[in-house]
Amino acid sequence: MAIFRYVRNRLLLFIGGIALILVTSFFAIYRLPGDPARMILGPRASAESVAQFQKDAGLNDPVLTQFVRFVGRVGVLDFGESLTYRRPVLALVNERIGQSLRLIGYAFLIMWVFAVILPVCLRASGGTLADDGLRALWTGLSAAPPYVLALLTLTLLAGSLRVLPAVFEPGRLSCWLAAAFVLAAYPTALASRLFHDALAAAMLSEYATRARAQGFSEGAILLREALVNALAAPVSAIANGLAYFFTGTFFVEVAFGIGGIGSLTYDAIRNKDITVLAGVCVLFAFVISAISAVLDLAQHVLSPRLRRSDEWQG
Amino acid sequence: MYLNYFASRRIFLGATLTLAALLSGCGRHQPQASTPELKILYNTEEEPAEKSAVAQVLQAQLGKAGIPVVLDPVSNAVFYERVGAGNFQCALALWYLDYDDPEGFLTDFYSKAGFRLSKYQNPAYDQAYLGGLLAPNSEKKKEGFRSASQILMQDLPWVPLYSNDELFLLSAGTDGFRSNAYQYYDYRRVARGTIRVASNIELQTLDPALVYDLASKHVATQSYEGLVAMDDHLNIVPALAKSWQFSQGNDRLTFDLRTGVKFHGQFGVFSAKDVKASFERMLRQNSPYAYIFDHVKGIEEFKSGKAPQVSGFRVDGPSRFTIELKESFPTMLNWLLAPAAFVLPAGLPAKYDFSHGSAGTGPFALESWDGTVAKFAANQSYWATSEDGGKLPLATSLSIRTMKEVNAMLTAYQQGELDLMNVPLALYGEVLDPKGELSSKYASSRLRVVPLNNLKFLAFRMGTAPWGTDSMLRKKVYDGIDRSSIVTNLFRGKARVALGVVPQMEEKH
Repeated sequence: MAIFRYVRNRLLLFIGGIALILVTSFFAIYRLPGDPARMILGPRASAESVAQFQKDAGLNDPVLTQFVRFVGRVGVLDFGESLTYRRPVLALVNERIGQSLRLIGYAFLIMWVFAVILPVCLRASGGTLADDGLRALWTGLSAAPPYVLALLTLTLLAGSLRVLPAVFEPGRLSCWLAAAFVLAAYPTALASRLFHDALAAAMLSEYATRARAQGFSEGAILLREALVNALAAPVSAIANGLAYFFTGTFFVEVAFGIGGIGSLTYDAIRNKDITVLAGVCVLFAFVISAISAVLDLAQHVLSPRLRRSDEWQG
Repeated sequence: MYLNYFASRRIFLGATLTLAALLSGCGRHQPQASTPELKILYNTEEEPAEKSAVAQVLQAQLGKAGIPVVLDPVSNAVFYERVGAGNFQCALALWYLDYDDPEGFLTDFYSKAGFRLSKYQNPAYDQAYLGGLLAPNSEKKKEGFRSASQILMQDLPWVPLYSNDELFLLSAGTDGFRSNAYQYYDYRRVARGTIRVASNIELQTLDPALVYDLASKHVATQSYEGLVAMDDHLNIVPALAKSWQFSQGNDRLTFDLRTGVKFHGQFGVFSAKDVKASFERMLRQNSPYAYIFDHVKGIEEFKSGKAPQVSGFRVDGPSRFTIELKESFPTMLNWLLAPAAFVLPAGLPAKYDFSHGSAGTGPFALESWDGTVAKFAANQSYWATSEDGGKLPLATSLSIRTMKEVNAMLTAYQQGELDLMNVPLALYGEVLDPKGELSSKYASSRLRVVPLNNLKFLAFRMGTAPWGTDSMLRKKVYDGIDRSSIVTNLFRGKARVALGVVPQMEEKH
């Protein structure tokens, strides 16, 4: 029964979060400086044209009216029309999201390989020094802001070493991996540190000592005993990392010239395309909240400790 | 009356104080004390490298001239919001023309114009401007515009700085590329199978009716055409119209249209009804260029919804189209060069998706736009032919890529991933040697320099004290700027000093 109560509470939290995001994102965007009508119609448009545009886009209505209309539309998944492109926001997002998801997918893969799989392999085969070196390298890389790291990567790989085309070619895996590497740098550094600490703790635990007493090798203890218990740490890092992945696409796509959601948002901020901004914000918020809710539930089901603590409380 | 009295008293008082300050300043050798601080607003997202460099140079030069300058860099959105609302003292701004006519510069000072950057108002100016705009012949037009330009030189709502050139790096085989002072890029004669170009400015729209920025114009002009076009010598030449004729009083403009021209895809053959439909569609779309038809008969009735059509747009058979004007207005032909007047098929669906195809008659048909790259295929049934009667365009495909990072763009060019690129100021140091010649690193490339008909200037917010009310102060700014130093040192000679609001007009004096 406790699990149902947990699901119910988590669902309420999810809905509350979405409502909060709806309010803050709308009002934050509404308060952005700049007149969208003037931005979109350009300097030579007449005052008459600007007034007509504001009327057509409903920009003259009271803020609350606009908010109610916005929420009502979001409820039926209608985010309105982009002020710049004059096309439905959902159609634009639909067109662009594929590229962003592909980028995030590769970044996700890089994070798993470098934060979990490779360290385990290295440690199991006795390469502790290599693992420490790798972790230090990721930490160093993650210290650079993503946009700077992107430019450095481009300058080095495309400019000096010439192993990568400077123009982004969607058909080439190397282009995607370079961009994904930049996007993955910070979450990988974070997840590898968390995983390393969790693994070290697990290796010092009672059951590891018992296994040692039974004569198992360090590598075997790592794989058979410690790994499963230490995995909860990177899984929770992923939940945080995902939000980072979505916002990180913003810098990485602009620097590499990928036409995904990040570029769409960048242009929307520049042009003050408030319908696209609001749409993207709400969609991102929804996706991130949904994923973190699912991960929480997964963790709850997977980790006996968490489950039990909840039962005790309940 | 009272208001006038106090106003004149204040001016008198102000003048006395200024004179006193000047006199005292002279005595103590401190002329700076009398000059108020000048706050220069500029947009850090539009031609960013150029803006910040010029702003800093101005700060130094004006400082030397005794004018303390404070720089106020803001984002694109904030810049346009503040400029639109008149919430600034002085703005470092730019103005690009669309056609070869001084009117393009002078329009912004007309008290009933659309934008009015400086919020300038002067009945004498309006009279001179309208005298030129509605003049029955070119002599009277020149006369009107010249006196309008002279009034601006007295009042100085804008302090002109320079007009710059556009630079292109061309790789082997791209010599056929043509462009002109209005940045119409023509790839029809580029003899390469595929042409790959990049630009560092973002695209705003793919719908020709809504185009006002350079990047959108670049893309739209490959697929769409108007009745007339401009060649590289700035002459208006036939496009979809074979010829045109103004009536005696310049109040009717009749076009003889080309026959047998096909639209891309399934949109059939072009005829006069498409011209009418496109012009009316552009007005319904609330185009930034809707004003170009302000002088057409029946425009008010159409805009207010009283008439379903514009009575001044007349279809006289499939290959003849007439524009009836309210008054003598020879500038109408120039205004038809705007991308907003490009012709789309009458049968274009209301919700046509411009990112997955094009519905024009131009040399390249758009295949896709993915947010960064516009891909085109040659229009196999394109109407125009080369000088020797050969088929155009010569290339089979074209791609225009947005690359926001200029260094990445240059790297791509160096690696042969781009065939042609325009060179923004940020890359002058890399591409040009100190004398302004192409650097020896680019020996296999060719440099193309195209003087633009544009103006970079300081715009003052007129009407607010002290900078907007005192033309002597503005004159001090005008005199305090060393334009030739900006041209030689910053632009390596790839710009021209601008002394008047209409640069060509002042040079001709």
